[in-house]
Amino acid sequence: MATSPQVDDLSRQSTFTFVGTVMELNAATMAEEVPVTQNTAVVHVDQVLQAPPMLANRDGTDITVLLRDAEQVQEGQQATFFTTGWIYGEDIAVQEVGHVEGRVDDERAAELAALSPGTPENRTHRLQQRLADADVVVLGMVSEIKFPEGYDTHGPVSEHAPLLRQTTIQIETVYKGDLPADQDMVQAIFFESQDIRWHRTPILDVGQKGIFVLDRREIQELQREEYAVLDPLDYQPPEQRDLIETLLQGS
Amino acid sequence: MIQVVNMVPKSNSDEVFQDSEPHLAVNPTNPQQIAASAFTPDPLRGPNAPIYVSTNGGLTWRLNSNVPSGAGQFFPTGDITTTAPGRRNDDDNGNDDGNDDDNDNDGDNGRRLYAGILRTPGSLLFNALRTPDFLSRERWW
Repeated sequence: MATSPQVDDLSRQSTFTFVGTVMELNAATMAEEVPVTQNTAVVHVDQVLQAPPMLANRDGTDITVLLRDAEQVQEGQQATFFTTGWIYGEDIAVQEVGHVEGRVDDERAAELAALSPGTPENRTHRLQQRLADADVVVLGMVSEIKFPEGYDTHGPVSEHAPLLRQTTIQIETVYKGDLPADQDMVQAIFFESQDIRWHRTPILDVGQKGIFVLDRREIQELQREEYAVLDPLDYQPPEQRDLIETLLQGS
Repeated sequence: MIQVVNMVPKSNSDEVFQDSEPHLAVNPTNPQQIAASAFTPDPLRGPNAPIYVSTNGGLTWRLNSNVPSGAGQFFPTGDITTTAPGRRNDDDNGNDDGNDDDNDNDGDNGRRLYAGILRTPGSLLFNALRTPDFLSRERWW
């Protein structure tokens, strides 16, 4: 039986962990895309334990696994496979980091599931954590976008520059934060760059409505603290309103 | 006529990344074999970065995650720039058959691929890598 340190070590090195049954050795589900060798095998996914979104729903399907050592497994054997990605084509092939015989115990399976970023439960948990950490949460609409005061708009600009902008958000509802009762707007910094470096940061437009999850952060280019919308979770579309109200009431 | 092909494989078809700064390298001994790169992270966030590979002249593509990288980094390896230095008069059979068509380059088929990459974590470091066969699971070094 696998020891916890062994499972810990394997889970740190892997990004897709599942309980699987070896169906066929020297085989692949994507024969045209995967070079079939003595180390490739078709494995039936009995239960996904840890997975990114694209593999979260693979229960009950077959997948190609590049084994570390084909002599360590037999057809019909069930094991917990720790893997990383290998080839992505019509389907996915993964390469084994290691495996332990049989299924890991329930406690360890729950720990691995908690590492999966793709499950709805974990996405909700991350949003709940973000709301709990935020200084201010408001429902509102972007009414104005301009250059922040003190921002150098004339200096040399790298292709990776964030392109700071300051947005004014007209507040409809304050969900969280010590804002004065008569305050009907809040200003925040965001990045307008579409460069790959800032691909995940929200880009705002005038008239855009939603829930803004704000912290005061040190903005290096301005050398001062400002509210900022920089994390993907810092802007939530209006459709998330009911969920966010529920999460805030529960926190 | 130009045929536009979506290079993102079916298994990764819901990806919404900014696959910018694309680059292509064609095997000069067999133009059906093409390697390509872009700012595409490994979909499973593993320890390798992927390159796109086609064996039918670009009609279909797969992602092959075998370029050394940093596990768990969102953009672990960037600016992958590839070149396939094979020679047109190689016979591309990759074996040491003494065939004159190999032009004394047996084993030096066009599937050998060089890549310049910027590698993280930490500060960006330039690495020059080589693989003997970009179609196989051969690792780079």
